[in-house]
Amino acid sequence: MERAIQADAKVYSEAGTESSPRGSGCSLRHFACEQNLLSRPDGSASFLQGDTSVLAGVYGPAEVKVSKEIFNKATLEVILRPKIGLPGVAEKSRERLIRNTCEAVVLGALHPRTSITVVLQVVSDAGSLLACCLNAACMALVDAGVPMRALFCGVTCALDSDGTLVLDPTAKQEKEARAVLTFALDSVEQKLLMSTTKGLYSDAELQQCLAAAQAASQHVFRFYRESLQRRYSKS
Amino acid sequence: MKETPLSNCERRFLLRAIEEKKRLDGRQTYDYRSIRVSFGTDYGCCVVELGKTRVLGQVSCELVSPKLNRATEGILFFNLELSQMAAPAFEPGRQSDLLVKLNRLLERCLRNSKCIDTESLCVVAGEKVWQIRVDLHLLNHDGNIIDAASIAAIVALCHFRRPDVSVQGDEVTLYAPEERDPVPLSIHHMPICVSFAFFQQGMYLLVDPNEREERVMDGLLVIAMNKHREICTIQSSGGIMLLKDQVLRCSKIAGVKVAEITELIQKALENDQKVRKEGGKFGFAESIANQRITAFKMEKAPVDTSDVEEKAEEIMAEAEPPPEVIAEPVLWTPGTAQIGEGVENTWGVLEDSEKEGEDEGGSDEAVLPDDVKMDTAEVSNVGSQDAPIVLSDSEEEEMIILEPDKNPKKIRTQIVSAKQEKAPSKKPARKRKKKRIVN
Amino acid sequence: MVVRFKTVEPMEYYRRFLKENCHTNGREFGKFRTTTVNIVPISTTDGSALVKLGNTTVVYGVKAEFAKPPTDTQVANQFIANVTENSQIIQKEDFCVSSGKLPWFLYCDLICLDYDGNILDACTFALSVALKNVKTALAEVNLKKKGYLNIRTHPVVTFIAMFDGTLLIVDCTGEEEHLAIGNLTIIMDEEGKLCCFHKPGGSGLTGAKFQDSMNHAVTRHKEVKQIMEEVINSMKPKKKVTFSKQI
Repeated sequence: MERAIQADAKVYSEAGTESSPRGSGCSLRHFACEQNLLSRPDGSASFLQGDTSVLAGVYGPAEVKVSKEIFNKATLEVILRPKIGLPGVAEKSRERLIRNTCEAVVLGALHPRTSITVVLQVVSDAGSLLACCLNAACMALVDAGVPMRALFCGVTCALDSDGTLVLDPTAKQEKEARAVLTFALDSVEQKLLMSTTKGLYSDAELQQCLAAAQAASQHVFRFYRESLQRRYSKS
Repeated sequence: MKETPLSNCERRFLLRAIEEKKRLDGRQTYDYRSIRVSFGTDYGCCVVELGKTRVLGQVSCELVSPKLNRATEGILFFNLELSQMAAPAFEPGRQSDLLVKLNRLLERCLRNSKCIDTESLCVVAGEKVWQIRVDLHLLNHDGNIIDAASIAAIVALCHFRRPDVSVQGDEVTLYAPEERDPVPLSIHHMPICVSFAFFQQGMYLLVDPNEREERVMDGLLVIAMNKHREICTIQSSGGIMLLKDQVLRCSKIAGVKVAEITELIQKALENDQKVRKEGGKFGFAESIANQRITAFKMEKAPVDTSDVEEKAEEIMAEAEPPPEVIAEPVLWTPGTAQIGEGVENTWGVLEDSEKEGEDEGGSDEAVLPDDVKMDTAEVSNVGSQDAPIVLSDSEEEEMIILEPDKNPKKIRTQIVSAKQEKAPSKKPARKRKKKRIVN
Repeated sequence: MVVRFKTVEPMEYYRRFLKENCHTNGREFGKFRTTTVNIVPISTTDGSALVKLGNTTVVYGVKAEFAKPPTDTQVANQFIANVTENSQIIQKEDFCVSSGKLPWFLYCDLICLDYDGNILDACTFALSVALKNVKTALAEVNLKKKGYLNIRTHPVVTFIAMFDGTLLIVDCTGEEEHLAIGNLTIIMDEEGKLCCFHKPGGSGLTGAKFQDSMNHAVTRHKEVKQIMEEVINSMKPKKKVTFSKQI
């Protein structure tokens, strides 16, 4: 198994540097994930999509500040830390998007008067950062054993000036794109949990992007499942 | 979240073990935990792991105007962040004593020891210099933050490449990495901090204390040194009295440790450079150990998007088309227009509803929510019949103020007409009230 | 009784109405609240507008200033909105608009006088109207200077709240917004192109559902466009008179 992966890695050796073109747009970059790599948080995960990398740590269910306590469910907090400098408005709005997405799937009612804190640290940004943050948050929540009604994943689509669809774009592709759309989808029915967009596009294009994101989400969920299978395998 | 307190028996157990020259992780007194350095794809990005303590370092640069009293020197800025990820007790955005102490120590270790040639960072004297910013994020706290942070800082600085610049006359040209190779910083030496923890009033000493040991220690001595055995900074904290011999012995140990660590750093840097030159794979994806069962990788996955257009069309075809007929807007006066039915506004009717509450009080209790529904439906019907007329009084008054250019007479007539028409519309509402009482 | 029921079980109270496909005040789901627009001559600004959407009221002032020409003149209609939501009744939001053919900066100040849901809709509407207004004012005042405000697109915001996973409600009040389990903001321009499809979390949504919501947005755009044209046309002759008096 191990050998096979490494042998494959050589074939795709260009994927590491990302300087070379990725061929057709409709593919996901190589994914990697490591869970439980930090000792202090209750759950942690490092998620890599190509060269984009995010580290997530989850504390919870744990003690909550009285001012933030909610009597019938857990208080969910998301903190996103940029790599350079202090967090700004962009981080705050992303935090809110991720928080609301998590809140839709986490069964907070099972742990009333507690806090669940997700801390995300951007390790490197090479495109599709928000999607990677979402994936890292989901894997860390799974690692922490927080009860959830479904898993979720983030997928970013970019539309070129000629309308070509690119999945999981790199930073360069995002920059050149006419529109960049990020979706969060759940694993049960591929329903849309969160969406945020930039640029101009038609409603037909939006539907296409969503359908493509739903197709891509199947791969991401399969990746989740296989990595968990490996983790809980006996051998 | 508060820090979990250390129980007395735990404390006693740890101290007893130290007295017996034993450490919980099986190390000897002078042993360091294993150090691992990995680099990101960007220049100046590294993660240093010291046992389970983990620090992410990132160097960035910017062209700024220099400080007034140092016109020919670049600026070096350090920022260590204690993320909540590292330990639950760290609060985001708070300058704790520990954080201030660590940042100050880092500055003394790296900036004041002049390990970086700041004069080489000057582009145009008195006008443009490079500001080098070192961001350090603590990702996991398992003791000895300062050693890990100082290693991460110096590794990131060594790894960093700044864009090349050229000056022609007054013009400063900045070259992209594709045009000209970025240049490394000129580093004179590599100071590294080594921490010594003292227990039982200095009786026992441990190198590289972990988090548990830090919590039972009496005092801490930090020595920053380079591989030439030059001491860059030395700090003793915790209020412990140390003998001259003890300090000398510590500095000797520090010399040995620094030599080892420097060698490791240089090896890691060389290795990364070699891989980059040869065009191999680098970045954090490579530093994930394949053998761990907690780690998993997936190669580039093609996604079948051939049926995307069909799916989109299908959904769009199925959806109800938007209604063709839409409400006509009503023009009140030049500059004021309205669309939709006028049932919504509760600004003017606020007083009425209060009165209603006072008058009816008890009888209101008998009304079931279902009845209310009926009532509200009625209201909406009433509203829509004479929709454009229902404008609250307050709004009309506002209009008078906001239209100073108008002939005042005109407006007055307008209001009168509006009120006249409004009067009948109020009547049904009153009737309704009575009805309810009857109910 | 009713008031108490509403206080104790707000969600249950709303559900009763939702079953009947209407708001608590009898408005149908697909219908928007009364939208009133008034071009207010606030003398210190170059263009201003007051928009009322039910109780939600927003006053908008645009101030044009001659500043350094922006280096980046390619931006067609960059539109940075920092929405800081307060539960307070007074809200201030700053929009910064820089248009490609515009040699000055526009400072747009927005004050919300009453918050009762659907704030973004009211804000962008007020912004569009106020900017339209600026066009007429500046074009006449500054004939010597060659400035002309060219507004290419008129984005219209449609805010849709979700209840119980399946119900979509347009233009909800503040109370409903608070109780909703999810919301959706669609911003559409004149050609039916979307510039924003923002769903900040909340419960899931299928493709078919959001196509429905898109159609709501189309309807809304038509309405807003109509009312805007009406109001602008009505103002044009008036303005000339007032300006000639001042000059």
